[in-house]
Amino acid sequence: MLDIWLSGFLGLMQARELLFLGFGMVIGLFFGAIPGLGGATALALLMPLTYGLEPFTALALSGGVMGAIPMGGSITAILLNAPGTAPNAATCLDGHPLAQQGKAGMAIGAAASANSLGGIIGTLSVLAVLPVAKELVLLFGPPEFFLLTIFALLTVASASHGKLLRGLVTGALGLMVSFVGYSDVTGGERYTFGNDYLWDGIHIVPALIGLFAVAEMINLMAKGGSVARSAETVQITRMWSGVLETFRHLGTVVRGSLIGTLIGAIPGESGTVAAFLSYSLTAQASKDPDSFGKGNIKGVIAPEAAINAKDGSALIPTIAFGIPSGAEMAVFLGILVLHGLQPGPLMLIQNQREIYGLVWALTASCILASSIGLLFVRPLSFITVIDAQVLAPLVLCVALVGSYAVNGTIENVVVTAVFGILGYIMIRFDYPRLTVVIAMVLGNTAERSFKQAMLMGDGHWSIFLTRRVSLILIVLIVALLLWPAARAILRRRDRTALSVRGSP
Amino acid sequence: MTLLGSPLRQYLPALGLLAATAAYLWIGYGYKPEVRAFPVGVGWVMMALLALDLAARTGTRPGRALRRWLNPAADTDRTVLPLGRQLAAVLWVAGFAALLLLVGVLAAVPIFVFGSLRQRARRGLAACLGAAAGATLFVWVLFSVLLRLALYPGLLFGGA
Repeated sequence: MLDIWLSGFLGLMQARELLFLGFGMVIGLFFGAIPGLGGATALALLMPLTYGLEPFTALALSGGVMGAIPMGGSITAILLNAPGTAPNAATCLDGHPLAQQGKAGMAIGAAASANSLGGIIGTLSVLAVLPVAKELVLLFGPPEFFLLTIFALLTVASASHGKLLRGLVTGALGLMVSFVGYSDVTGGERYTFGNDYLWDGIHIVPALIGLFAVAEMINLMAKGGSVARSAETVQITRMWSGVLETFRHLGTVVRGSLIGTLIGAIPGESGTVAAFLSYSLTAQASKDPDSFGKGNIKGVIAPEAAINAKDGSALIPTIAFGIPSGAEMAVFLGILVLHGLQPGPLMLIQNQREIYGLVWALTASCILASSIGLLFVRPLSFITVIDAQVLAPLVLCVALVGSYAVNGTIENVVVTAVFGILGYIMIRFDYPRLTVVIAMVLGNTAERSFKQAMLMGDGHWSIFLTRRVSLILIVLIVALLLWPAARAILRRRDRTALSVRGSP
Repeated sequence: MTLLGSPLRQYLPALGLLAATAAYLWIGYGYKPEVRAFPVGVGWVMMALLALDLAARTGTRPGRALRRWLNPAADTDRTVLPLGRQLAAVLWVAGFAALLLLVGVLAAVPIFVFGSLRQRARRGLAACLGAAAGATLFVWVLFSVLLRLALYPGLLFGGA
């Protein structure tokens, strides 16, 4: 086994491969930072360029792009509350409040180092798991997928900083939106009102750009000032303290990385789910959950570690079964096929050098991209002190045109604007926006998995109770529902005990 | 004006969502049973959640208890902004989207950037012109040259 690992590693250490890896990394950082572009666009753009390359070199280039995308996305998520890619939306939760407090440098430092460590842990996990990948992936069938979506939704809602009910309301809203369009599960169209654009449903990326980038810019324009509350508070010298914070919270990094690795290995589950689950579980496990959403550095570390760890394991379903976990992996699948690499169980046996080389490329890319990200912290932090009325129009131009660029459809701009206004209303009325996104991502998976599960069980609900992984997920869901009540009781008991002890 | 111990405007967001969900359900019931099953199910869950949300917004004892259990941190740190300023910001964005639709990317971007910087940021003419030209150049190079994307020409100039 070690010789294949080494062979993949040494293959990547050639000058040509390193050059293409670096090129891919720069492209990835850039595309990751611009809302609406992301990995799928970058890979689609580069796909024709890889045609003349050796398969191994093409994979080094793709690995460079995929490994760097999350770092690019986290920079705009922290500085502008505008996530470059969907998974980075989880980084906004605490990263942006830190930027508002003038600690953008620290947040980016933490994001960069968590990215690197997450990538390394993810790679090690994948290297360990690859030989038994097939068996692990097969543990998850439709009943487990359905329960996993419910679990993910509840986890995110329960981590809405003391707004569980409103989190659930916006989660249901996201689910309702996700049902718009033609349903391949039921063979009928819903809520399209005869509009061709709505036939495919509401695309997640324009909606996400609206909910975060546009809504945040409207908020900024209405409030005035700048992202950071005052120029004096921008501490651009604290990036190394961010790196140190990551090492201080290694437990959070490991948990996030393992969650990312696990979720990434499940076909159809996205980095968004991994990032939010990691964030939510970290907030739940914290002794001070109320500090999350207000600038807790662990709220940056947890999702960032998960996002990069997920990238490696997302290769497992893509390569082993030809089932991509998202748009980025779907385009990557196209690159594999273009180079004569046929995804499937046989590829795990016949193309081990390429697979391990790709895993190493992803790791190298996320480490290098994080280092470059650190180099740019200082100049980038100044974005947070630019006058809102100057910054907002420039960001809005890139956001709205980026939304159009997703698939060259002008209706995307309308969706982005509508979701931007909706997002702003949600900010003003204090409704969490993140549950909308996660529900939109998971809605169709939930419906499809539920229907398939019921077919498997001949219409009996017992299918959810007779499988081991299903049962574990049900226990986790019940625990999650009871946790807020249990926590409130425990807190009250603690307060009572303290007041009894304090009384004379 | 208050209702059950809370100002009427407190209920507005939940009532708005309630009306939207009712419309969603009403439309949903027009589809075949197998097609509507999941959306309608979620619609009813939403109704139940909104009923709880409305109850949690009242100033009654059960309302306060619900809020403590399910929404303890809601509405805790909201900054009050003048409605006019909020509406202006929303309309500015809606206007830009409409402009993109009508005159296309390459005309809308410079007009919007120039207008925003001049009207809202009160910058000098040269700065506004420079920023508008820079933003347009960036958008053109990135999307048209590098991504080879045909930029939308606008409904007025042949766009569909």
